[in-house]
Amino acid sequence: MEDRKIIIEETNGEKTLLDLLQGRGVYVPAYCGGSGTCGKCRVRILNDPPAVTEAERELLSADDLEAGVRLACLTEPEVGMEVEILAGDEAEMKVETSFSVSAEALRQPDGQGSGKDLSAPAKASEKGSGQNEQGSQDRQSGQDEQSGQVEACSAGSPVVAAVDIGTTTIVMSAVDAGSGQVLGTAAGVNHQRAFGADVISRIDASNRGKGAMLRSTILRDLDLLQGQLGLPAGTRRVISGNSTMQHLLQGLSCRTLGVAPYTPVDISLHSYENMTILPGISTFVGADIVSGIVACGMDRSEEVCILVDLGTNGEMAIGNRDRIVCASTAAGPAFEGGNISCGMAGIPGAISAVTITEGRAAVETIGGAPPAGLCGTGVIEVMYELLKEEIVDETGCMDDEWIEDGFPLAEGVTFSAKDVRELQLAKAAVRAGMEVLLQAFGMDYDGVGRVYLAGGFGQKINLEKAVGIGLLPEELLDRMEPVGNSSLAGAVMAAQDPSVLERMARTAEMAQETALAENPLFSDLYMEHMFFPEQE
Amino acid sequence: MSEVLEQIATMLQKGKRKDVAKLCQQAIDEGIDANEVLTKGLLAGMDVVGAKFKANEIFVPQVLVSARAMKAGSEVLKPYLAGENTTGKGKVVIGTVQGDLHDIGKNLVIMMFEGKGFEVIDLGVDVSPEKFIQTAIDENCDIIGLSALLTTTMPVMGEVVKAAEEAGIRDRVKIMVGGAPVTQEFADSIGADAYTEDAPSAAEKALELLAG
Repeated sequence: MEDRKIIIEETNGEKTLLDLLQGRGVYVPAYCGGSGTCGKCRVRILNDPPAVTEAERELLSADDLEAGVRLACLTEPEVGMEVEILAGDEAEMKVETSFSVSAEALRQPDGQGSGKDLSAPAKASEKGSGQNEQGSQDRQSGQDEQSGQVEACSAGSPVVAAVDIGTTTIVMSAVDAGSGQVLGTAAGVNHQRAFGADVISRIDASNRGKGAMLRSTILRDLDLLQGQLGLPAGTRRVISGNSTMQHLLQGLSCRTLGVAPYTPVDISLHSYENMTILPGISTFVGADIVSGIVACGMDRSEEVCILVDLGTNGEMAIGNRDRIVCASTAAGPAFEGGNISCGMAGIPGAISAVTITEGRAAVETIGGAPPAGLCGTGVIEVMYELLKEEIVDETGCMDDEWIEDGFPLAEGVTFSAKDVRELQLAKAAVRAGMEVLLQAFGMDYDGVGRVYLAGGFGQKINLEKAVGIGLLPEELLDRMEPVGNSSLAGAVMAAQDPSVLERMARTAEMAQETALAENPLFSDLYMEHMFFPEQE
Repeated sequence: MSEVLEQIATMLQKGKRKDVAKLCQQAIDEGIDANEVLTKGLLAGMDVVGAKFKANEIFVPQVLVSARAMKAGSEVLKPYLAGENTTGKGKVVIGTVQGDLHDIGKNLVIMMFEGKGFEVIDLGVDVSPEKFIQTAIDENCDIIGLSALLTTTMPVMGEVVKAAEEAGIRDRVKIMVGGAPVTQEFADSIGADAYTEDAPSAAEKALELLAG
């Protein structure tokens, strides 16, 4: 752990302790971006703690307050103040680092057969085939420093860091560019969380003059993961991620991202000396989706497929090698355990499986730890069970018995009537988005080949239960395929074979975005799918 | 109370648009005053809808179908209510602020306001401060209602308050704010008159503001 006690020796006119700590690169999570509403930026003031504010009284326990715990965003920094940084709840966060894409998707062009399977990478593919000019230059520039630095690296070939920068987490794989082998993968928290949990709060922070700090934060995180993988400084990076993350990393202004018509400054493919930025489609459909489309081979397949990423912005794409249409819906973080009263990240103690019989719940947790809350998978499980047991009806109304205090799942963990409503909003947005996308493409269920479910949640999801609550259409159940972190998978492919960059650029250019907010069909379907399917 | 008015309220809660329209016509044909059909039928029904929504018993889609039913009923009553501000509760201009395209929350608030008998002018989404102020002046509104769903567009609410001051109408309009990222502290900081957590409370708060 980093040094956790700090004595304030000078201040530079910072209004809050949070600002001061951020300015010095000390990580304190602040999901709400420092507006005094999330209660995450807890610090202990060791000498003479300031008076307790109303918000602190609401968000912190009496014991904590007594012990001098305050919120950094509500505390005015003073010279001589002794501050202890308290551990966040995210030290053990489980990050989705795996990806599995169909062998067919990874088949080489020109009928070279299934050369690269990401889960069991090819031993020695022809080095240098299909490199584009920029790619080969970059590779050579890093070669001397890199060779021999990673043990498993084949002699003389450069190692490239393939990266997915998510709003919450960052995952990096070390890829031997010669053999295509994935040498190792590391993951960590995106410490930009100190500036807010969602993209909008990051955009807001950037607009308030914190862009440089956000940039140095992400660069530090990348260095950290690179260090963990034993990669030297200067290792070339291939970066996938949503458009906001790409803007912040490149130091671009985020001013136009957060207000209609939400135009990006630059989301095209860029090759800097040691860094390749993968291209995106729009402000809300970024390089992470382009990566996913290519990783799943949608840009080459004749069959029309669907990719759905179940994150905070439920992004989705439909299409094949001739045409791709995409969209994003503001689904909210319910599928990641966010906005749910007892929701939590997928860490030990999070309930991930639920069965309810005769009004009693039996739960399983991640790591078998005592139940502490619900992760996204658990949220779907409990919702399905509540519907099956008719504790919640198809309109989402909870039985009188539980409507006040919520349905108890375990000691201290309940699922409230309001949680049901949050989930209804989220699942309706995803489902309606899928239907509109199908319609925009001019396709019905029968014409769809596969449905790829991306995101950490997609890997562990119980598909039958997801269909049971109406999140996904029953008609497509037999064609659904969880693919894990397809954004990382795409970055790895681009690191293995620079010709993939051309596919990504083509995909980004070809893909059309359909705006859901202004689409009356979307509004209708959104309302329709807020209800749950009738239980049999 | 007349049986037909009770039926109107019940059918409205169920969202039966055609039934509500038919029953409103029937009530008029029976010689019941249009104003009474409105208040004791339609608005009484919407009141129950608002209360149930607040208690988590019903949700957005049900409120929406009820609101559609109310609209169908209002259309029938319109010729009989011609011109006059039928309930005299007040006039509200409402919209989502510039740069923000979210409208579901705003639409819910509108339904609740109408359910309380307010006359509402809906400016839609992405509305500039100037347009709010001009409408408030031209239409002689009592309340300006502002919605924002993004932290990045919230500051526009403050601009509307300032614009109202500059236009010299601040003392005669109440400004209400709402939306997921909005808090009471934020409302205070920009000098808004009221913030509420949900749509039904907004309509109740509006009644209070104009009464007080």
